[in-house]
Amino acid sequence: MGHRCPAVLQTLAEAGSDADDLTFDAVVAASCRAGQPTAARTMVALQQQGPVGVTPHVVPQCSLHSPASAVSVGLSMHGPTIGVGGGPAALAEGLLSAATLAMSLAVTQPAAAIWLIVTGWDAPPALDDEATPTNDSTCRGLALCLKPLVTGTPLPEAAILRIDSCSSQGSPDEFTGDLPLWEFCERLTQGRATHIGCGRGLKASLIPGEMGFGFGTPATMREAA
Amino acid sequence: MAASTPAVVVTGIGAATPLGNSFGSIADALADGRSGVGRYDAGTYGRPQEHPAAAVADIPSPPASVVCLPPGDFGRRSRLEQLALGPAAWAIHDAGLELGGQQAPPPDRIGVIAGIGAEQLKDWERDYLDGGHDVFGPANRPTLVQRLAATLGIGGPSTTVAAACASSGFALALARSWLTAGWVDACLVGGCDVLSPTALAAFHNLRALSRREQHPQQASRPFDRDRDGFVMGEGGVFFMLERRADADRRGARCYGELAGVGMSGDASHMVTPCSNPTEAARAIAAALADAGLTAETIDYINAHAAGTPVGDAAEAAAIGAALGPAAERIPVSSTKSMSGHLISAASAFEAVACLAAIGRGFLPPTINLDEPDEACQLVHVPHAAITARVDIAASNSFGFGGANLCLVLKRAA
Repeated sequence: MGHRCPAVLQTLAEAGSDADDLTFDAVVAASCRAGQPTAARTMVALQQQGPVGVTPHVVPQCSLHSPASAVSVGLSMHGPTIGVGGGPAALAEGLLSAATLAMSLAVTQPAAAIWLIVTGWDAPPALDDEATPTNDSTCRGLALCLKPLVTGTPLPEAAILRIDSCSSQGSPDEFTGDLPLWEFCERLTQGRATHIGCGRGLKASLIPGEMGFGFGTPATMREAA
Repeated sequence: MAASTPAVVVTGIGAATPLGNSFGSIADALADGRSGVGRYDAGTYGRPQEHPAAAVADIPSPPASVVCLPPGDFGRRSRLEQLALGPAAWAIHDAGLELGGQQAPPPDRIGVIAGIGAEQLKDWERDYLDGGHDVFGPANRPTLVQRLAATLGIGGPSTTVAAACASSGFALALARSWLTAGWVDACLVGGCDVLSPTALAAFHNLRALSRREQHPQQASRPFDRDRDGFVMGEGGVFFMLERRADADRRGARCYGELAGVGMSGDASHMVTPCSNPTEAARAIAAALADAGLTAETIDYINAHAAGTPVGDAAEAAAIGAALGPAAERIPVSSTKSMSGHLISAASAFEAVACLAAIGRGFLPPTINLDEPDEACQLVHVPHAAITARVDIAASNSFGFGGANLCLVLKRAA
């Protein structure tokens, strides 16, 4: 399992004893593209061998929610597991959906966390006609552990994810929903607040606490990626 | 959901399904116990690939009052996009919302959420079968949901949600939360899925599909002793959801209230249904608690039951575990026996079935239920619909990967 979700395990380690009980935790996975190499191999197999050549693995490997399910199965998390995004705005959709689930869990499982996993390509894969990669593609993974603010009083040391109304035009410091993941990660490691538009009229803001976003160093970020 | 949170109601429905393209036609088909399953050839490259499946005969074009497309535009879009755009536009029309009009919320206050499990796989497949090479390249175009919002002129938050067979149910859950949080004033929400050679082959090779190719209308037989897998279907179902007070203010019709949602995860296996009913039962119990209801008040349960040997028995156990003695009197049926399994759109379709039961006063049947499996001890509704008053209905959806969801729908008071 470890090789599948290093970003989650890294975040888990950094969260320390706060994250001991994962039983009712939820997982939201926001991916840009789901299982492209497997899909390409499957298309080639369908053409060359017919239906018998289609592997059942295409089901778990090309479904948008599969990363979330893989994490929940691997770490025995029994909260809701969903995939969101599937396009350039995956990050914004992930933040919004995680905040949405947090509202529900604040009532039903106030101790549970929401694990938001965002993945994106630094260098997207290029495949030849046999679906073999022809470039050195890099997929980045980021895991954020979110807990509902049950009392409504922010903890000074904790980073905050907020969803707020905003003007339709957005604001100068607001990124659009297709902010690249690498840039988002850089801002997190620098401890900078980041506001991302979720459609017009709504924005997701990640605001650092006294300890920034809780990431040790940029090096551990890269290690986790 | 806390008691003080506003009620959320369904004010519009649009559909393109194997059983009809409107609330009325779907309700009629369910009341008649009609099957939408037939023989379906998904063959590619000159090779036949026949399965029992439930296809949509005609996908309705969007009404011009909602969106005016250039001639031929709708037909040029992918089948998956048609199954989203047609029903979504009809849901807006059915809700009586004139986008941009005085009674409608501003476009930036309307959200869009669609349950779609594997949109890109379907897009890549279509392109590849047409001779394209998108699947080999880095293209990252806007999602169907983003294109849908742009086409309809909706500017609020939007997202695609995937949870396999529970995708559109989770979409409904998120939409309800957006409305109760005040993030949007109306939300267009639903799901769509399309029959595809790859998906049919993958599930066939997984041995998850029924092999009754010679008798397709008998192939989908949830809870029956001789069930041998599910029958894949396709369709699109969309709703307009609004807060009750807003709907009342503009005099909108209410099909029913989305009164409760329960969610959990099996954390068991990526594909195989979980035989342990614990987490599915927790989702059902959570939905009732969220709605502020007890098991005794439930009048009808629309089961997820797709006709798989393990899944149906596990669901029967989960219903018993969640509802206790009340399960011995609550009628349960699986409308997948008629509609097939609409995968990403299944939860949304089955919410329509619950609203039909509430609005028309009947219990939809499980057709093909000739000999109930002893492992599925429930109060079945075999073969034919039964006239009954239904005020509160629960609908289960369990997706592979362990995504469990239960919706509670209630007659709007």
